[in-house]
Amino acid sequence: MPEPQPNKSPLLEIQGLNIGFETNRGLVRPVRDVSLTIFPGQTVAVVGESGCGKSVTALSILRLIPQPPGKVLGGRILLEGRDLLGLSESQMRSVRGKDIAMIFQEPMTSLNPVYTIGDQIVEAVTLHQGVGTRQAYAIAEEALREVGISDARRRLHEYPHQMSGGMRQRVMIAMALSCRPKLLIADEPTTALDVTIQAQILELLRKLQRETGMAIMLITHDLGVVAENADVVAVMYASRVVEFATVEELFDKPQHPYTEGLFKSIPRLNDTRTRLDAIPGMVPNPARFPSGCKFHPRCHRTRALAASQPGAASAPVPLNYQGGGAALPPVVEIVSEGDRAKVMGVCVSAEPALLEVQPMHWGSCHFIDGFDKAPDTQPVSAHRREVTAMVIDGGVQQPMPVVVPVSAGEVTR
Amino acid sequence: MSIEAAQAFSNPEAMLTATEPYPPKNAPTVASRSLLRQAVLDTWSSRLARTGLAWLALLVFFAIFAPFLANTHPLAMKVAGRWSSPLLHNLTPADVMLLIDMVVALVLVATRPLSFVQSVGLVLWFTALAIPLTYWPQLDTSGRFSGVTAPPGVNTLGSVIQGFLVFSLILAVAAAAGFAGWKLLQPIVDGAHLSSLKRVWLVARALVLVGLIIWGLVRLLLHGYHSGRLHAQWTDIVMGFDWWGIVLLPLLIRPPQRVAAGGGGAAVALVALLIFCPVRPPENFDYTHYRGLAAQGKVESVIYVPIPYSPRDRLRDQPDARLTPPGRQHWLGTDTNGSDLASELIHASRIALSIGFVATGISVVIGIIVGGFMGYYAGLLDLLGMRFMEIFEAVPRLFLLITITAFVEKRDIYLLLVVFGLTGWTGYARFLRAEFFTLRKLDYVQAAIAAGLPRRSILFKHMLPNGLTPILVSTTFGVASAILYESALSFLGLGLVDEASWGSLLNQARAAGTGFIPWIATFPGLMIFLTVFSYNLVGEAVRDALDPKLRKRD
Amino acid sequence: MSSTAESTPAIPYARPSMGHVVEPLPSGQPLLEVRNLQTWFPIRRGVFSTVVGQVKAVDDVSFDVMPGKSLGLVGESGCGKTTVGRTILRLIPATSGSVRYKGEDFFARQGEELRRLRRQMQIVFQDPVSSLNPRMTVGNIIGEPLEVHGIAKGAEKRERVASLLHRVGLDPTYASRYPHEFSGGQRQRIGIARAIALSPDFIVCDEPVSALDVSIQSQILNLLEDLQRELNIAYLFIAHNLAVVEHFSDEVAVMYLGRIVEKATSRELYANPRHPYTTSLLSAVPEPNPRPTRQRIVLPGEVPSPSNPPPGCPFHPRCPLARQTAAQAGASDTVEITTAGERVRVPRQCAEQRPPLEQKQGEPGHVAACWVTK
Repeated sequence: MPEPQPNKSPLLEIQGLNIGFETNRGLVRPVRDVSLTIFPGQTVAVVGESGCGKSVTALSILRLIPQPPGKVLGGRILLEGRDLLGLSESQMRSVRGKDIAMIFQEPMTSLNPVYTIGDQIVEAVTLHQGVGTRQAYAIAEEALREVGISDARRRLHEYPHQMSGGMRQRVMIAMALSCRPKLLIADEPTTALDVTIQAQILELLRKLQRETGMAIMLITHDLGVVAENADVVAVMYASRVVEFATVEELFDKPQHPYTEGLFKSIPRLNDTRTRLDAIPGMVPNPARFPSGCKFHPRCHRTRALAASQPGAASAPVPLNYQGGGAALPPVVEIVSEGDRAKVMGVCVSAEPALLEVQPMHWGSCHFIDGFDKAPDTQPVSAHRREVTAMVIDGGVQQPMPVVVPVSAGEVTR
Repeated sequence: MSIEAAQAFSNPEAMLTATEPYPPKNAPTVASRSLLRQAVLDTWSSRLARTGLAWLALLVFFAIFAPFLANTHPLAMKVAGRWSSPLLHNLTPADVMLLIDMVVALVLVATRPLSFVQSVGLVLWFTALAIPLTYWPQLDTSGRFSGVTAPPGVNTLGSVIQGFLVFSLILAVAAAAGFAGWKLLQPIVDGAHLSSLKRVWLVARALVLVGLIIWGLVRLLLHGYHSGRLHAQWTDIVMGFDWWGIVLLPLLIRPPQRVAAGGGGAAVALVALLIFCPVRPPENFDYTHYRGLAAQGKVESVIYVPIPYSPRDRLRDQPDARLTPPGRQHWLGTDTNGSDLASELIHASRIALSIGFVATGISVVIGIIVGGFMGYYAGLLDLLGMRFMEIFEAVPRLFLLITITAFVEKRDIYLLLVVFGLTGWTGYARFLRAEFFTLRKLDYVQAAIAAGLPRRSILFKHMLPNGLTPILVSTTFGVASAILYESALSFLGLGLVDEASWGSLLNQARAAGTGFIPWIATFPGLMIFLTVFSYNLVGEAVRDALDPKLRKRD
Repeated sequence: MSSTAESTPAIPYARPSMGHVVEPLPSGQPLLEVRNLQTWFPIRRGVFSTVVGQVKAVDDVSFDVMPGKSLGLVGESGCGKTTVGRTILRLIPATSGSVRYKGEDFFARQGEELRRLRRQMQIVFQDPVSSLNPRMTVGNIIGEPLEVHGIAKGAEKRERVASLLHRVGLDPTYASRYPHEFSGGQRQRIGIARAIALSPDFIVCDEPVSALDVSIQSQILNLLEDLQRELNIAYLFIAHNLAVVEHFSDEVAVMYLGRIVEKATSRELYANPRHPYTTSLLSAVPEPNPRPTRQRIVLPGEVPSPSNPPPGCPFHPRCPLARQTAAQAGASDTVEITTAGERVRVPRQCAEQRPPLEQKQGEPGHVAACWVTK
């Protein structure tokens, strides 16, 4: 098993991506100024809830967003230095499946029900590898075996509806990996699966990653999956990346109040708490974002800070304050869902950018320590995780190698 | 990915409502739209649909105001120093009913006291009330109303009463038979685990019982007719439907008190009006009368309607008026009988619209009932229902229509409507059955069952409104196809005899033997084309409005 | 919205009490007793729909639910937990077995009696999209059961609906809106309002938070907990997320292929799992810890189909404990089976006889169905 080599240059760089959708209520921007970096062999997790833009980001990488009503408003996506947004459609077709592959959440709808799975894999193989049909079937059979499907030759002639959810997801992975892509985008690959099947699939992905050295962009909302699989994490909220750090840093010292809130609100096994600390309020509607920091109506940090400030609050400010860059008084009052609350004025008037508040740790909140002096850099981290999971496979214990982390100072930009 | 995220990608519109409606309190309150209203608005927003609806609105205008647009009877005439309105005196029952319906509908649209379904019910009630009132003067003449040869010495008022009693008897017997059969089949329908033998035994018993009851009724009726004591004509029996409608519709509509008072008052006024001013057009009218009077110079002053020819006015005083091409006198020309073509087209719009709406309405009602039962209970009922439907579908509709109309001696429009309706329901039944299969398993239906709601509430309030989508869409297409069927029948010479319809005019266009007569082929053909096209446009817009939103949101 | 328990109602018609009178049960008597419940679905083939097999979705399940307490039912898809919930409420007909509600046979009730008894047992569904009738306003959805059961009509009904909406954390003016105007979390709240409208004693929560976002899940769970405390409702909490179930339930039962394989109080089950399936299930839950300390057990193969369950212990083809025991015991008392393309040895008893639910080491009341474990 080859040791993953620390690689100096990034595989995929997303720089300031902006996507817009034309709707009859005007232009909606599901992705705003999103930047992140993926290194070869690395697993980058993109965490967020519905409406945060993570799926749209992933689809934009492969340019799968239909151009009306969607459109790219700005930014670059560099695959080994080549800007994907500037490629023609036929050039893009050779990238899809060959350099970058994608698997989706719902394997039933991602597989064509009227073709056998063998036909579907062979189609991808013949397209990208230019081999004959017989050889393509041999490759497909090998691919199925690689993903742990027993009796692969028989399965090649089965239809998707004859297989279970976990099996279908394995077929999807086999299809995605049949052309040995450099990057695999996995959009919530295990959300629709049971927890034991989820463990199998994630273990399979880790094994294939070790064998092929591919990078994985793992999109999920499950923090447990992130903790066990990711090297680097990007947390998204309201169409932006609000925090970007190594997985250990993120879980040990989360900087953004949304991340903190998420950690406190999920139930864990062997938890001693009797009541969950829920984040109040709801995810904002992309057509009607509040002004300033998009999280401020729900943020405990800004309320705690405002409460500790002396002096009365000014008159209530609407949540979609239109004052532009004009500064507000230090403490203002907002009305959020019928409740009045005092928050810091700067949270309502100015949206914080994603700045490098600590080495290799980016955050987007006015009240992170050192935010006012933090540089505006591209979020880049070639980190690998410190500890991998211990797996007992089918009754026999198989310890996984502990991967040596790349220290932060060796990364080049 | 949660449902919101999945929606967000496939439909950016849905993304906007997938998250919080924000901000909830400070925003001006937007009127909350039900899905149906949203669908209507979406349909309206399509320009093609608006075009289609404009043509259909024009047709409706023609249908209601036909006597005021094309009529030999002048609107007002002064003879020997006295003004009179021959037009108003010679309105037919159909004219009056349509005018009543229009007035009621306009009042309801303007004041909007009831929901859509209730408003339709109220219009239907006024129609049901108007039918006997407008036809009672003709009953006394006991001529045109009979569809079957009447035995001599018949007392038509008595036959009406007898018809009502017979209808009520049939209704009661059908209810009793249905109830008895239902009770017998209850265990199977409820899904109890029975052996096949027991099932067959129960079904056999039910069929025998129902068959016996029906046979007894048929024997009773035949005995009545053969012994001469029963005078009721088939139209009298069908009128029983109308009488029951007058009684039952107010109970179904359940109007609030103000509306009930207003409606009751209007009904009383209507009854009084129609009793004192009965609708009594003469049997056979000499249409040359007015032109004769004018030629004799007895007419001092006269106001005609835009087209001063009725469709039945064969212009017997102008023998070479037949087959005149379009000109100043006859804007669209005349047909082989001499009737003015424009006038015929306008009056024939009634036939087209009524065939479309009434026949399709009958089909939809039957289809919903049968399909609903099959879909909700499934199992044995579904099996029997499918076989029943297959019997209806095995016979090609056109041939069935031709056969029936060929056997009946006097073809009138009511027969056609009923036959159309009775043969076209299977498509709607299939749709509703399929929808109900899915709906039965949906969570909100299960929640309604778990909350202990009564079965009728579950069926009519929870399941039916949600299952109507495919039926709504196919209804518009069904109306178009009914018009085409009628045109086909008329073209073959099997349609209505005394009134001209668009199809029969097309038939006339080719009867010349030397090819076809251009204006008689073009204008009726154009009417058919425009009408069917408009229905299709509206139907497509309705489908676009209903399908994506409901499919994606549900 | 800030946590519902703390916010003071700012509207005039908030009524904290539902006017609900609990008939006190003799203490210690369970609210719901399920005994030997079986729900089999026939598989039909052919023109005459002859029955060729049975899908044994629920196969001999028994448990008790005490008033005001929660029983959690966990398992993976296909284990029958959803079917159990719906069978108890008679939304699906049971093949055999009995359900006693407050001591009386629930399955024997018919007609009007049944409808009245249904008031006391309600359900909250998983899918917020399909659980609300899209043609009815929110006020009608919540208010219709009130009217049908004769609890309230007209203005009083509207008041009750408003106070219910407020209780679940929604603005009472939402009553005139339609479900498609709300987000998933809000729709789930409406579903909960509908469930508590009739003041039930027992609610089946069928995966109520699985379809919601992470930050909304905790809000809904808190709401359900608050309602339980306030209204003394017993829950049957069906879920596949073990962390949520541990947090929420007093007692937990683990299901596999239609049977309960382990049952214990929540703390006991998570601290001291006896059944190998429970152990692997617990280990498979991803831990939000970047330096994972737990060992992950990856089970081989897939869950078998409930139409063709394995003989003996249903778990034996995949059971790591069975393989381990057979490896240690040697050739005696073991058989060889073929599963998922491989041949393994398992103890004969596991492959041939079905283990009963027995008391195991641990708290009294901790039962598991396994031949090997003590």
